[in-house]
Amino acid sequence: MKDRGGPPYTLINHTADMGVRIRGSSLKELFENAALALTDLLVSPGRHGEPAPFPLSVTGDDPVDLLVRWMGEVLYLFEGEARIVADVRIETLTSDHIEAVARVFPFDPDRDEPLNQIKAVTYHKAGITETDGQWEALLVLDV
Amino acid sequence: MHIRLNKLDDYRWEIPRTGDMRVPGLVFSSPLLIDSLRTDQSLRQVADVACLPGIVGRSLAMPDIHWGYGFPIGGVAAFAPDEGIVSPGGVGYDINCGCRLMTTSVDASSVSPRIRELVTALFRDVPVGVGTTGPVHLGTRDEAAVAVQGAAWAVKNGFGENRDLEFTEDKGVMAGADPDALSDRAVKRGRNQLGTLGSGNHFLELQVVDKVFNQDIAHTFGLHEGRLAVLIHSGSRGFGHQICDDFLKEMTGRVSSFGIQLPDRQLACAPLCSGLAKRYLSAMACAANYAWANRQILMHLTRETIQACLGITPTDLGMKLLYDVCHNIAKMEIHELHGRPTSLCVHRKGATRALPPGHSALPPSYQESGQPVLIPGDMGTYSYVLAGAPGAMAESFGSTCHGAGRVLSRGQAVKAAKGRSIHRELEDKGIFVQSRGKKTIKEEMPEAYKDVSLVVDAVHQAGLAHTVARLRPLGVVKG
Repeated sequence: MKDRGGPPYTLINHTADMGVRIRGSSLKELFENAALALTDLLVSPGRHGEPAPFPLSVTGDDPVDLLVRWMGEVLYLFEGEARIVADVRIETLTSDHIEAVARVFPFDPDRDEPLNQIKAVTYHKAGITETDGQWEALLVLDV
Repeated sequence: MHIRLNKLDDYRWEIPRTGDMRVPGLVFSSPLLIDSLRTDQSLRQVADVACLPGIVGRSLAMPDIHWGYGFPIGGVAAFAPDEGIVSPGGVGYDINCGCRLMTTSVDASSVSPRIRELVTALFRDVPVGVGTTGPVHLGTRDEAAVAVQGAAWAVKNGFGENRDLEFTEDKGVMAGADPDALSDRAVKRGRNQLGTLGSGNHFLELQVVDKVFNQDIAHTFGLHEGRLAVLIHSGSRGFGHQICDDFLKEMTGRVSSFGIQLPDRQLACAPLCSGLAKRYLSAMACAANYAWANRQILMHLTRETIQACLGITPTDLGMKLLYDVCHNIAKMEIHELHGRPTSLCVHRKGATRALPPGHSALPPSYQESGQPVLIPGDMGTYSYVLAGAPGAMAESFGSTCHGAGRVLSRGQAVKAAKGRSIHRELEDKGIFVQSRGKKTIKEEMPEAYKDVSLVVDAVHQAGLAHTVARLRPLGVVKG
């Protein structure tokens, strides 16, 4: 469990890759925490100015597919566009679609420390559960 | 669910066909390795792969098998072209991740006192780590040329020699590559990463040929005890990751329309006869070619750095490519099935092709020896060179293991390294390591891997490949 004010997630043992369990008090918070947990695993950001808003729109076949694609979008922003998602606000969430506004910094190799090379968010073991109003997602990241 | 294992002999265990499995599973292992498989989910994954349409023979696992995503790592499966499938997850995100071993004429004992200096120079000159860019910045036309021409593009552009192509699997180029099958995202990610090593388990290692087991074949391969060698492990970087991701997502959305039921969504696939499968294979070939060009450039950077650092000429160094093999790939290959040569789509996910002597795909100089098989261990022990044997064609679609295989997760490894200096422990063994990432050395510590000697012994005893030589690390560059 993260204990320095970051998003609530736990790493779970997976022999070759990285398992991660993410929590939220609503499905929307779960998705927001998932994005921030991924950033937390990717990079330790240095000091930056005001982050810029960046609209995100993701569609999936069902909630689990949507979560995999949503996190894949955050990963692509870092790996493909060199942008760090510092914060995110989900405006619309349905079972197969998200509209959100992320707040992003440009990645600066002199300031920001990359932590893990994450190749992809996989579907292996991917799942979302809800117990007494608490939401939890399990994902395996290819590292 | 418990997976039953029936021991066939000391190096083979069968997973009998149950439930939706279309074929049995076959695990190559040994009495000293098999128990470690019962603690993770890799055997379940062998059984899952056996459920895929059109699989032929058996769902195979090599002795370095461990829990992956979808396919196990160390998994091999072949599919019939008419009823079978191709699965991007069965190839993996790092398409054509592979190894390249170079021999030299240099006596390792003469450079041992300068290993620290050499590793530092290589760490400086070979781009490593997350987010690094390479020495080549590709325009759209050049990137397409890399995707189609593979290692030959690198040689044409001054990164190596024509001879290198002869000693690269498939001569460093996969046919059928079509840049039109690539997404804009893949093209963008490929632009600046050519000639970069990456991070995680990728490495560049200075080694000494420590022990020769088969003098004749070692001589053919240019392996002589006491000589310096260099092993590089890298792949297709973000370009390949994006291609896998793009097609996996497309296939996930369409798999039910093909009437395919999956035990694990990560096994998303498409019938080989479909347009989607053909597009994936065209894009996958682009990534395979990118990876061969990448390792070709990394070899060139390594050669130039060592020459400059030691102040020696190319002739003095005498660096020659022994071979380059890929680990993550799907290929149409001819194999004997029910006594007849048959074209099959062979998936190797963390496995190495291992062709026996006399195979037409081998270069003339390796016709008598068989294909060199490069098996890196962990950075504190050994790596091995083997030669492909007839048993691989008979039992494993011409495949063998690709490494030692992890036994500890990265988190477990970091925990095990707490309070220790892995750098110092390795230096005490005469191995100097430099890495970009703070946690990399802990995550990749020797205890995180199986004993590579046991893995190699298992493939040797099973007759998939024969042990030729052992190499010991002297210096390691990690991402």
